Amino acid sequence: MSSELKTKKQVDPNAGAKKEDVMGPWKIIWKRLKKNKLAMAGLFIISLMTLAAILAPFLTSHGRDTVNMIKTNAKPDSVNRLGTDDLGRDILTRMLHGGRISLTVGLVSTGLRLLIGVTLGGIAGYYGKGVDNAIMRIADVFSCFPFLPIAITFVAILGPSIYNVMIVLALLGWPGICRIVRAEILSLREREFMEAATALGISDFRKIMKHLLPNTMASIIVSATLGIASAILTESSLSYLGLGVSPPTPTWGNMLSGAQQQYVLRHRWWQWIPPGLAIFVAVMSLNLLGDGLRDALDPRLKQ
Amino acid sequence: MGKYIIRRLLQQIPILVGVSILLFAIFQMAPGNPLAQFFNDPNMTAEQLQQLEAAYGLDRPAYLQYFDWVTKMVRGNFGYSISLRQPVSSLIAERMWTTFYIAFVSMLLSLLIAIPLGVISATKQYSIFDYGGTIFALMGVSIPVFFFALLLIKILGVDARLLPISGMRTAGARMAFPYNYLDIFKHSIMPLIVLGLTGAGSFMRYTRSSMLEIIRQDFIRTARAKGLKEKVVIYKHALRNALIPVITLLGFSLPVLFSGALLIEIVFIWPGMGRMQFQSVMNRDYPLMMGINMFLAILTLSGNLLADISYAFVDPRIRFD
Repeated sequence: MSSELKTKKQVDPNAGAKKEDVMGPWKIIWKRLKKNKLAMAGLFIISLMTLAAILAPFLTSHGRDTVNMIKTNAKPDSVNRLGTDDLGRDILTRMLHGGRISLTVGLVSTGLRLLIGVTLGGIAGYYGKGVDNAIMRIADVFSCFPFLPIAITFVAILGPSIYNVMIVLALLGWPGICRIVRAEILSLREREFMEAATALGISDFRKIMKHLLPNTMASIIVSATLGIASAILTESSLSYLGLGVSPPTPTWGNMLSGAQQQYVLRHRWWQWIPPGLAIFVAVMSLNLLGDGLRDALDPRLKQ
Repeated sequence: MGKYIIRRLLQQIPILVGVSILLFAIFQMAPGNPLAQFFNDPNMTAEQLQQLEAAYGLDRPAYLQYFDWVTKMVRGNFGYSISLRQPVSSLIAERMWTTFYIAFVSMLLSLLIAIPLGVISATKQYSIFDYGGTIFALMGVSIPVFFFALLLIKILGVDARLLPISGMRTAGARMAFPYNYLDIFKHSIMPLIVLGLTGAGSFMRYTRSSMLEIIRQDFIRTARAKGLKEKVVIYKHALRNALIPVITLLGFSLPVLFSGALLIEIVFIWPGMGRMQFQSVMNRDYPLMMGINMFLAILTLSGNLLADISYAFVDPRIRFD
């Protein structure tokens, strides 16, 4: 019981911060991040895009898959703000809904990736020796495939679907974060506060979860932000190739597939440039945010 | 040094074994049969099908098939492509160079753009150059390769008609010696621009942060205190040291390069390995898919190994034990 209380205190370095008016670490990071205009712009834009994706059904009066054979391939006008596609579906509506899919795939696959990577990295770093060696060799095996070639192989075998895209992204992406977490835990393990934790006799699981992992949070957050960006990029590539999310479900990537025809590429810019820009802007803002977060969390280079 | 190289080489063996097991397992999960195209053929009798299955070894237990596959591969036999009816190894050998050309020339282009930009960004940290460079680098990392390629095709190829938009050679044209290579070069300009520019981003970020770390070190202060010109300090003393980690990145960026090349080859219909792999995926040509993946994995491993060794080679602070 008493050890429980003590660990609580160690876990939460912010406890009592208000009373003493000391800034907690997250507050300091936020303050630093706020000074970075590019990162804040990224945060603003990606929040806006997320909001638009969530509110998609309320932002437009068109149905996502509503076919209108009278008005196919129409140029943008006052009814269809970004024109229509080859089946007369409203491009803007499909882009808003496509954002839902693309962002969800990015979030879920990154979540899965972190789950695998952080768990294995934590175990490898904490137990070291044989366990560490085994896990890291497996990570080596997974990371010696070029991403896209092995991803299209996977998807070709499992069949193209939104779930398979998420699984592939997670399965192939975990070694990166695993290495980062492992390296940090390896050094944290030797610190004095861990000796104290051992002296208190708490379990390994608790030590990893409550004492070691929270200290690696900074790296995990940066890696997650950049990871979502690259997941969105990969999903769009796979969907563009017809190996990701398949129509009629729209994603920014598969909306671009039409541009494989030269006629569309040449004469119907509204069918492929807007979704392409959407991918670019979303990924760019996430990268700006991730980059800013890295600077804010690692002030070593700021002098 | 020799010992170090041998030890690192030996360390690759278990990884390669792991890679081959993983690849084999993936292909065991496949629901379809690689001989499906023959199953639907009404001219094939059941007996002939069985013979075919036996010929490809598909009737034996999985672990035996695995050992079969690995022992053949060690002898340089990567299997036989079902859709192209040629040995996989000769197909790879044939297509490899066109991919290598795109990959390595674009990497060179990336470095030529990235290193000067990275150095300027670092020496003028927080200036307009630095912000501009950062934005440029992040744009390169963020733009979807295929979207960038499509934009270029539209602007330079279809609208302005400046450059050929697909393939590697002008169809039907017979050209004499210098012109045939010039033709190939002209076809490769757009793929090279796309891969070179998108690849420059990460190299630039890396050069910048590596440079930032170096120019704060004591030996740089010493060099300045000696009264050396700023140019000499930056380009001779600092840059040489800052490039050491960039060399490592070169080796590690091989897989990224091949991922990018895959998309580029598909968009520009460039007859390289990536395009062949995409076709093999579409045709469910499993031996070819497996062969290419295995080849790429070996290539990646060699790249990592080369990075490690060259790192140890150029940086005398690294100990070999």
